[in-house]
Amino acid sequence: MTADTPALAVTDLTKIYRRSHLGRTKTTRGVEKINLAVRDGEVFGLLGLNGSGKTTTIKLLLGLLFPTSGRIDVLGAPAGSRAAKAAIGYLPEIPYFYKYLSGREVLTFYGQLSGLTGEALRQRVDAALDVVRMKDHARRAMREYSKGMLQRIGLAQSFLHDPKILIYDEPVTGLDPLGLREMREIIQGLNQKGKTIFFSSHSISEVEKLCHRVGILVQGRLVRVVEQKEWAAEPGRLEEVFVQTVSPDHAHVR
Amino acid sequence: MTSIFSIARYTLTQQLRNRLYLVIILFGVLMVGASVLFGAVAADQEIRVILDLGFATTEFFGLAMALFGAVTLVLEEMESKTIYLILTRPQPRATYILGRFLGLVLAVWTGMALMEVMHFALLLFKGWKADPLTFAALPAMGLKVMIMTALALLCSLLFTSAPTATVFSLFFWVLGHFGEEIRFLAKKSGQPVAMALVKGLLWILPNLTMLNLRDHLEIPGFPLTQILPAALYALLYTGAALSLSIALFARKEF
Repeated sequence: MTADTPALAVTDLTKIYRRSHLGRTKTTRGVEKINLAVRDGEVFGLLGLNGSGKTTTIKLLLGLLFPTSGRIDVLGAPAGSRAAKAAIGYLPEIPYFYKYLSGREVLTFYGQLSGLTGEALRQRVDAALDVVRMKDHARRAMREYSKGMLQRIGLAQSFLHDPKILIYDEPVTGLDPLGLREMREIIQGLNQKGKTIFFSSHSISEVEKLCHRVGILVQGRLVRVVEQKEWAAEPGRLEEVFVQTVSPDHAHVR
Repeated sequence: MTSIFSIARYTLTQQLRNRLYLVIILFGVLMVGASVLFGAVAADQEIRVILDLGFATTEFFGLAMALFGAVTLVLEEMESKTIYLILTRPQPRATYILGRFLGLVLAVWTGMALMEVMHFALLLFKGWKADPLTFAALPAMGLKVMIMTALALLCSLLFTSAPTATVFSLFFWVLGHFGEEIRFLAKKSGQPVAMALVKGLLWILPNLTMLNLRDHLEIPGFPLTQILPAALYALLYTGAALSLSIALFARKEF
């Protein structure tokens, strides 16, 4: 890995889903021929309509899905490898946890799986609970948590092991305005600490506020990458670009 | 290795806090208690009836806990997506299967031990004189349930439907007790094809009768030396089933 190595390098990435039923195989395109390099330390947003391939892309980056063709490198290591996974912190769209465990137990568990032990683990769990302001609720069972509290624990587990890259799938979906603001502040804070952040979202206004660059996916293809300078001077410009890009009437923009 | 124990520990905690699991244990304990009533009806064979019925109940509920746990554990976790946060940690996928298996087996053994404590307390209360073979029957029952846990886990990965996986696991349980009878019937048919098929089937099916030490409690002079090869067989069979599960799980997409 050199200083120029991108945090995430995606080359000709294609994922075709094959489903067999009664001897017949149906194929669906997840993503096709995606090429992308996410720079170290940037916040990169992925925009797209439902079914455009955002979650597929994220699952491929994480090694939860295997590419049909193409390649993904995470700080120079192949996606899904232990080195790649160690460099990533992930927050799913809806954080799913073990309802019988408390917030602290869940964080301790994920910390152990990330190789943390003893005093270092305890300190990291305390620090993460502090960042997401959940220390007072840490001993309650997860089944008693509100959606906002679950999202905060989800965030805490994502950066608990101090990964270089954070991958968030729709991190602001379903949050109230206060929750949204808190989430934005935490993400900005993590980026200021040098974390590379890659996230998907439907919320163009949030993407506008957080990202340095934005990729727009249409039917599994990355059709446009927009730089911050293209929307920074003109509020609402990103939404305009997005609508133009995804609208069938404006296919020529692509 | 630490990660396997972490997953096992949290599986055990999760199982013990699961109310349904506690209901099964409670029901088992009550059933062992009920065997006292049956024993009272059996007049001079009271101790024998309590002994047999208690063992049968413990094994049956141990099997129920193992099947319910193994079949639902991974499938439920795939459905609820809690598995995403484990598989994105820097650990090989095998860690997850081994940890889940170990935790579940420990939870089932805890439940069975609880029932047996109650069972032996009842027997001692009735004036039973302990026999070493009786105590050897207990780990053998535990090993049977361990084999079934590994098989149910494999079935849940093969069939990805809880009812189908349960039916196939029960199929293994039943046929695993009738290996000799199946062989006898195939021999009696005189059909070479049937004999070849049965030979193949017997390689796949677990030989659970080998671990039925409780059937020999009343036979004087049963060689205790048979326990060691039976235990070795149980470990090898479980290892083979787990290896297949690990291979299947490594190729699974989420």
